[in-house]
Amino acid sequence: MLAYMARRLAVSIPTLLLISMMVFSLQLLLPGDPALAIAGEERSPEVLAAIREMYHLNDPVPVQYWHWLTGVLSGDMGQSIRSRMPVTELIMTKLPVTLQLATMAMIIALAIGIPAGIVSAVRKGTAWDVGANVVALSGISIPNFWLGIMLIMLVSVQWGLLPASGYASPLEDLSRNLQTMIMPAFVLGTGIAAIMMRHTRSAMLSSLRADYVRTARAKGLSERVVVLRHALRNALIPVVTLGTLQLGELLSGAVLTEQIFTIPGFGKLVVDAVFNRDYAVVQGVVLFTGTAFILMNLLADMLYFLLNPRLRA
Amino acid sequence: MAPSPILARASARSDANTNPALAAPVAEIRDLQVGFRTDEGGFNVLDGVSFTVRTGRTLCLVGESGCGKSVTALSIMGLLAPNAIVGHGEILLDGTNLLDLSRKELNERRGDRMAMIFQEPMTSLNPVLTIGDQIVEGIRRHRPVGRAEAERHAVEMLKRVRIPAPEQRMGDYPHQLSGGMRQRVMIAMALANDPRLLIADEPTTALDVTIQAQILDLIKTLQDETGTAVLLITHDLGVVAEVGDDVAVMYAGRIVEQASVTDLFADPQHPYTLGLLSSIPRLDSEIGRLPTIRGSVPAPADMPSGCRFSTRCPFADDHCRTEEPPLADLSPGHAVACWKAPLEVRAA
Ligand SMILES: Nc1ncnc2c1ncn2[C@@H]1O[C@H](COP(=O)(O)OP(=O)(O)O)[C@@H](O)[C@H]1O
Ligand code: SF4
Ligand SMILES: [Mg+2]
Repeated sequence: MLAYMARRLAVSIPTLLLISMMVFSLQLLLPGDPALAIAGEERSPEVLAAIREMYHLNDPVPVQYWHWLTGVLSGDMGQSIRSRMPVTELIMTKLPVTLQLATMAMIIALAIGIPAGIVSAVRKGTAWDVGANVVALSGISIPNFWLGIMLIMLVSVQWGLLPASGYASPLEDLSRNLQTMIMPAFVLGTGIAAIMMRHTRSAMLSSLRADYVRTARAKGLSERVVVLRHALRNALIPVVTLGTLQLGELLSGAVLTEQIFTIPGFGKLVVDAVFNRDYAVVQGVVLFTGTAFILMNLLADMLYFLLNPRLRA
Repeated sequence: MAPSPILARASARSDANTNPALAAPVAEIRDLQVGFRTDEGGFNVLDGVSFTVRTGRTLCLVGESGCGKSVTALSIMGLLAPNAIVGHGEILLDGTNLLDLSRKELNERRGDRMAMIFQEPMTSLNPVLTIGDQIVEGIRRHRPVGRAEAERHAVEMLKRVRIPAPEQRMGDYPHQLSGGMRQRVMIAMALANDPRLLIADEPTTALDVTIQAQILDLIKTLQDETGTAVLLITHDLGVVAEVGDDVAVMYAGRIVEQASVTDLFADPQHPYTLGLLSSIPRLDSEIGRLPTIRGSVPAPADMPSGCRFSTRCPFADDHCRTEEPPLADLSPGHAVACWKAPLEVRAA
């Protein structure tokens, strides 16, 4: 197990390096002179030259990359040219928001997706199954932004049940926080629930056909035990892996959904940064979320490993 | 002529047994018809199957692949695929027709009064549960015992199926055991509640030859200890000679010959049985030069009229092709479904 983890970790290092290169090259590829952006109003050639010197902008690209990478590794991702705040600090203030949103969305996704998948597999071909599949297909094909806007129009504007915006930190006002987070979490969660449902369904269908399920039935076990203990335990292995990957995606920020509900998480941070040509922030967020995504992949692999006795040995 | 080794074994076995007429019936299958609904339409796979499994005795159900042996076993256990339709018939277990029972009543009997071992030991155990858990859950399903007592009993069962270091094996997952060991676990699981009827569907087909003999031996020994009635399904007449007391030969969803093992080997009557026996080389000299069965089993959806074997039978005539022969007693305890029985070819 340890050896496997070590190997798996070693494999992710080149991936991380690749991401860091891509993130770094962002500043080379994006239009606009970063020195100009940093300089703001002060655009005398001397100032620009000084800025270029300070930010190593005159060095060859590999050297620039090296400076940047060593900085990042020591926790220095540069500074926002907008707010003049260190990028690391900006990320740390937004992280709890995105984390909370992702967790809530995931809970909703699991609570809907897995039971729906089980029911539609067990009741394959019945109205339950057809209904669940239609809902899931709509869940997958309806864009989040559209569902978000519809929810705001209906729940907030029409019925006045929940606020459409006005995020509050859970430490300040938990009730307000939950009221503002529930709709975006629902929008994100249902999209994932649909995917989870489809995967749970197909994994359940194949494990319900397995020989060991027939053995379980031959023992006289009740259908509930056969489905939940024998079939589901096996079916959950790929589903848990998928859920972890989805969580990784959620952590990278739900740009549109956060924008629609004005939730101040990563999504909003990165959009604002792009509009402001705040390269350092864009780089920082992308690098951070990319790393989180890879770590989640790693976790998914490890969970698959842990849940699967055949691999654990 | 010296009896062949297989025959000698068969008669030795049978002599050691009680008179079949005295053994009480445990499972009686009567006129069972089972079909399947598919996208291409429906067809019958079993058509009027009848046989009796008696306490302390082993009935071998033998026939080529696809003739309906597994469907028969699964019908008894109530494990047929959802697209199966039981047309008519009765499946009596200790006098109760299982086909009349509710799901719940059937579940009370499965794994308790009747149990089954499957052909595929590699896939028949749940890969994510320890073998201890899998045996224990079967015990606790049917007996009011606590976890600790059920575990003691499970270890005891593993010991009885000759699994070394049973306490340690309890915590193992199926993949940690060989195919033979897994089949032993399946046997332990099946016998844990001391069933009246044990169904073993080709329990050794997937195993190495040396392991096959061990598993058959084990089933035999345990049967002698417990008096369980065994329905052993096989396509191998060698296995029948080895462990069978009674035998029912199945062809295309019907029983074509039924007898004690001794009688069947000594005096095979149905042309299909003769064909099957001719594939056991040693018996060739005993029954003359019969060609191995030519042609192939007709598809269930495409059964010939009259005798189902008529498409492959060397003795088929017009009567055979128009009218289906009933399974009729030729002598007490020996029934054959053939218009030409008793066969006189052997003299020819
Ligand atoms: N669920 C099913 N749907 C349709 N046909 C089936 C089904 N199960 C079994 N059959 C058919 O029934 C026949 C007998 O199968 P089976 O009892 O498994 O044969 P065997 O004697 O080899 O055990 C075969 O032709 C098989 O294709
Ligand atoms: S009834 Fe006729 S076709 Fe059928 S087995 Fe007997 S001889 Fe052959
Ligand atoms: Mg079979």
